[in-house]
Amino acid sequence: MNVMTPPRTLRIALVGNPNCGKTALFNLLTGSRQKVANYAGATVERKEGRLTTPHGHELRVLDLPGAYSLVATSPDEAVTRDICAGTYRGEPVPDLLVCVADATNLRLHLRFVLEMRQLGRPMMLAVNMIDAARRKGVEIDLPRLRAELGMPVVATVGIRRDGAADLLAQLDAPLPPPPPPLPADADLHAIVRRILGDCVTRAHPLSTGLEERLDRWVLHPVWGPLILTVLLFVMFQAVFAWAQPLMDGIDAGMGWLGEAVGRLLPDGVLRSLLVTGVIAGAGSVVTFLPQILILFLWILVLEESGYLPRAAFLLDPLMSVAGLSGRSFIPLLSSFACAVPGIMATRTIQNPRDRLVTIMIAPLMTCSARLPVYTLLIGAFVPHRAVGGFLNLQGLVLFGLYAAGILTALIVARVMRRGGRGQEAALLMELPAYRLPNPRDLLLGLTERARIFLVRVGTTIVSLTVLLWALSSFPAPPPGATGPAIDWSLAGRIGHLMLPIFAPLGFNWQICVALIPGLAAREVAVGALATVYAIGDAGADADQAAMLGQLLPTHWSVATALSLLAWYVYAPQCVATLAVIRRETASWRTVGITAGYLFALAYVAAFLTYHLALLF
Amino acid sequence: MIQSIMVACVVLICALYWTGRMFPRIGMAGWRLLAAVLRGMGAPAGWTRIATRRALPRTKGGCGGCAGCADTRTGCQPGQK
Repeated sequence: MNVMTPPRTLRIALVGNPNCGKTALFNLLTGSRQKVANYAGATVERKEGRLTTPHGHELRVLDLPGAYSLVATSPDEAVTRDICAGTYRGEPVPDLLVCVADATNLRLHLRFVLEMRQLGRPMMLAVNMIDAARRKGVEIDLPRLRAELGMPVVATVGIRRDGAADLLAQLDAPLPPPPPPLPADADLHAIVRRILGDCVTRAHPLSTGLEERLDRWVLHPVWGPLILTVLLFVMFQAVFAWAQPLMDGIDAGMGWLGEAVGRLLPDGVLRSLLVTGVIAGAGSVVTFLPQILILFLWILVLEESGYLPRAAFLLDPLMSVAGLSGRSFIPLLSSFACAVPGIMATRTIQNPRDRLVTIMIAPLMTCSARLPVYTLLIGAFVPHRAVGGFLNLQGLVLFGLYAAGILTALIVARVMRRGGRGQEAALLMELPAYRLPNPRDLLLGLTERARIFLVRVGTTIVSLTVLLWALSSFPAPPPGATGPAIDWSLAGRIGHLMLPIFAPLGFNWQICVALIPGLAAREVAVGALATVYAIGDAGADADQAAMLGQLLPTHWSVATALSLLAWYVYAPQCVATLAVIRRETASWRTVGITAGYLFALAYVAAFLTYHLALLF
Repeated sequence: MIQSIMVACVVLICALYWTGRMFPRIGMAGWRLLAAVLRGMGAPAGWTRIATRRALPRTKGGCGGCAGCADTRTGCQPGQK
């Protein structure tokens, strides 16, 4: 057998069908914490990590988007095809292709392995989720499979700490030779059937298990949508009901901190910066951490359990009304966390027109950055009372705001599609097995979310509130000037300049000022309002500055609050989203159209809401 | 007086941070200038090091627009953020 000498730093690529556990293996090998989810399409671009094998070999590991075939039908599959074939610009062809296959579904995954074999590159097979296959009574004869495929075969469990031991041992060995190619006209399906017959045995025939019984309810045309609605509804109720005690705790902590710093420092600019700028501004945003974590806990549970693709299947008819396919569902759902990764996830959509429309409506999904604004205004202006005996009115309003975004997105998609559904008529989506969410993964996911949020508060939000504090504090009023000092500041002047445009929406100049830093990150608007009011309200104590929710009802009418809520449902106040639209579509025109229609929607919705609210 | 200098430094750093995010070239020039000023003032070495590092061009994975890559610089993915 001809054995090649390994180069100094090998480049290995993890390839395979979607949702076979490539990213779990990648995390296990490289110590990364990339997103792992129980649905196809969680990875849409190449990711790279480093690994040192037990024998000290340095390896570069590439995690590639899942692909069903080398005949790419979507942009993410094209990345995998090009890298494996060595035609991806700036990316040398990998030295070793590690094909990852789901042991519970070898019939589907082996076909891709055979296709990869035709590339004539050194490769090996990692039969992943071997534990799940054994639990289902599936036994795989690995030595036989190795002989059949002509490449090394190892068993792996991507979610277990020692699950890649055999793979690591194989990576320490010299590079295997490329497997012998199959005849060009070989029937891959027939070969897969033969290999399965020779190498795979089942302890007991397939029976109708719990999964099928669950699917009968979850995918039922009547019960399915009802279960989905109830799940989403409970999610929004939980965001308010469960988070309140923790939020009160953080709020009190911030108030105490403001008071303590106020007592410690003498009166002056530093005290003003720390108390009214940093603590009032950033502190008012940190308060919303519990709500964001509860929302993400729900999303993580739904992702890990395998429910999300089923929700996509259920919503396919609804998406069809809007001229889209269920394939748009997962990118749109990702946009509830943030529109940026949601827009990137549209790479899994094959039809270019569907993809463009999905990109353009993704900002209408309520991202987590809007949550602090929504909950601040709802908490301040919507009474905390029960509706129908068991529903929370605040939760209902939050649900309504999310629903408004979704409904508008469907209407906009329908208008943009003009003529209905495109070529991607049928939704073909692999439904993964149900899994009980792993508490460790949930905890890791939430810790990561909390870290990302706090880093954002510590960088983006603190720096913006400091700048806003400076703009709101200087220049100082001239001697003998009357009225609040902030009116003479740069921020005050900018706010008053903007007022004629936004006054028809019921906005005051303080809201106008808060909209500007809100362009960098929506939640900064909360911190900005806290800073502007803390500086402007000379009588406010240090602890009051952090309690924006109690301050707002004394300055705004309910109509103004509702108008601002309507504005935030639609306004594309996120530079990062517009930047990623430019990158994904390579078109400034698309960015202009998206920003234009969203601002127009925001203005009209806020105007109507304000004037309708004034009638009551 | 000391309070005013400290506040001016904090505001300047925040302004540089945002200039760097919005206009990377201008931001880098600003950080270079700050590093030179800090060196001239004999500021602690750590401060100068931070300013010098910020003055270098940054390579970043993912889209560069959000924290979707969890600051790992290994790429952005759906659902991460």
